[in-house]
Amino acid sequence: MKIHPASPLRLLILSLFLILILAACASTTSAPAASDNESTAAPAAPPAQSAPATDALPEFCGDASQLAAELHFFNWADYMDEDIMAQFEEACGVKVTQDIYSSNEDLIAKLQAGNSGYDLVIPSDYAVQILINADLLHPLDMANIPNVANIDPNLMGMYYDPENVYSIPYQWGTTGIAYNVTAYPDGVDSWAAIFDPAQVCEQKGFASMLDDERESIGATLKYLGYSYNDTDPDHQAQARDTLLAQKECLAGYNSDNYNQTLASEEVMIAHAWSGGTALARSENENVKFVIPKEGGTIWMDNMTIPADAPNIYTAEIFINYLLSPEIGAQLSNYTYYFTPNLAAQPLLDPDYHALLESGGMLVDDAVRARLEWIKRDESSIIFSDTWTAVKAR
Amino acid sequence: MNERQTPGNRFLRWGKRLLWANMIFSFLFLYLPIVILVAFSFNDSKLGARWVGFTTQWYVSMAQSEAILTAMENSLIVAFVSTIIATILGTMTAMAMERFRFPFQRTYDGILYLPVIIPDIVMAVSLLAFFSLLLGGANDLLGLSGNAALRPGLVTVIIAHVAFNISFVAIVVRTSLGELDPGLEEAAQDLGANEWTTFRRVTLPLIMPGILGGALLAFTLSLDDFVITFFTTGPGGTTLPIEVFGRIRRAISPEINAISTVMLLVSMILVIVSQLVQRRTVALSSSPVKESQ
Repeated sequence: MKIHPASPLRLLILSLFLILILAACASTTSAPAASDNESTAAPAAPPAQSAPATDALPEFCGDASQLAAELHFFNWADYMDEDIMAQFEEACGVKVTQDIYSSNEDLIAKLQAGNSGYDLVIPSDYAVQILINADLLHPLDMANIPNVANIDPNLMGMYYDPENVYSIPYQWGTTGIAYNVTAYPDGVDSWAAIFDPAQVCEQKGFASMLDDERESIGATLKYLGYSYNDTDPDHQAQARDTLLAQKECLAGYNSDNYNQTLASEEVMIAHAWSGGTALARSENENVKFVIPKEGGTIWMDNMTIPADAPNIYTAEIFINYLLSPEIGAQLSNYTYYFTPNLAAQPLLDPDYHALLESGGMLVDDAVRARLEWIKRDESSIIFSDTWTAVKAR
Repeated sequence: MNERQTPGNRFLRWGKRLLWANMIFSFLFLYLPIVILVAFSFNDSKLGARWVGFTTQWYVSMAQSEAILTAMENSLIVAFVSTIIATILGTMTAMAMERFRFPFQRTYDGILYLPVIIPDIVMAVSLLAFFSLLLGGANDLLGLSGNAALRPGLVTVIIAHVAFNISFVAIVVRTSLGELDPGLEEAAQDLGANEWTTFRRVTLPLIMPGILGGALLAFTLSLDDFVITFFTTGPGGTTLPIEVFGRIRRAISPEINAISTVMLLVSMILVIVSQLVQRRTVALSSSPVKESQ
């Protein structure tokens, strides 16, 4: 048996290698080349090839000569209907490519390193504040975003960006209690249902808390009559003891698939986010949600443009597109979170709206008044200490 | 390999049974979760909390999701290219370490193991700092800005994966090189083969199982990596682990089970192919040197 120099295996490996090298080279060279002409801002630079003709672009695409061929969108996973990006590309000839992060801290680290190349990012409330303080965001030119008028005025001017210079609300939600009506026929209206040892132990092994130091300790502080952001050591110690007493009767701390355990009735009462509860309710009608009378939290994700974004104008045009009533409704029908877009609300899928309404998830003015923001600064470190003490026991 | 029969040794027979039971439990322990994962990828429920009915809709929606397909493509490109480069460089490193003597060799030896030992996150953060310094410097030097600027992307991810995979490949290949009988190479050279021919006809076929093992390890590690990839990637460079991890934040949907099942299938095919190839090379190399002239 001879070992042939040109064995088929070797040829296969060699050709595979060559193909991959070529593919890698092609994809790396074509990307910058395609966007090259855009950055030099040549006045008559033709827009993308897919756009029909410059004058045929719909009005919402803005000034075609300033549009980039590509927009880099950095977003939470499963937080954007891909059809919306496709529709925008078809109308305006801008290809939106999306990348994924899974925590605000990841996003901040990425932007801090600089030169990230992203044009549009979606930080949560406190992360917007951090990014503004670090000079990592670009002020928005509202002249390019007239649809900002569609946003609920009650959700503008929040603490992290009081003048909305850098951020516009994207989607929002709340944190409260999810429960199963078969176990709670009279409903739930107080944090006592999950923190009072006598009450929670009636559902021993069927109760869960979010695995999140700010949410869980904050809810405890709220139950005890303090603020979600209270860093007083005595109050934190009380919260720790309350959590330790409660832990005896919990099924566990769960923020990843609490919606599954709610839907499958493995858990009858849970500290939960509104969006996940809506998903659980879409599977099991017995699941309902409440913001307890003591109060819950509100969170907001926001559209912002990084300070060193290459395609600022295009990003503003895309933000404006997302804020139109139809697209705003399409987005929230997809994400299952609340839309801050007042004009989009009448266009929401009636089934989805009914699900929120009957599930106790809708936020009216009375509920809104009970909601508190989770804020972060150097003193928040005490939450980590308390949480470690709770989880280690 | 060879059965050593000691008739009448009851203890050994019991030991054998216990080992069998242990093996069966180990396999159950390893594979039951995977079986459940595959089964639930066909579950007709959005949350996948309990069995509702059979469906293939999650595979359909997976195949229609641009995000998932792009992530899959990115993952495969990164894994293939970085594996090939790391295998070549790692094998060369192993040859140098094993065949030659040079100053500070022990130090190099120690440094080689470092990427295997240091936590991913340390490597990730250092690579992030390195690339942002490097690319920033290059952009300033070449006067590039806006969309023309050089920035992290799949290329930086590939470089990072090569960086940690070289060590793994080198360590595996060194083991095969160490087991190689130097007499075989000497014999080939005695018979008139020059160094290159010796390497190609004798050394390479004999260490091929080691190289393939190293390559397979590198491929798996690359396909699997989240932390280093996240910190070194850029626009358009989302890989499958990043996509999946991001989605889990929301809900562990059957779609993720479907993706995992497909990945499982790819890995299984890979293992089978590598075993077939290894068997072939072993068969070839066991009838070796005398026929090469």
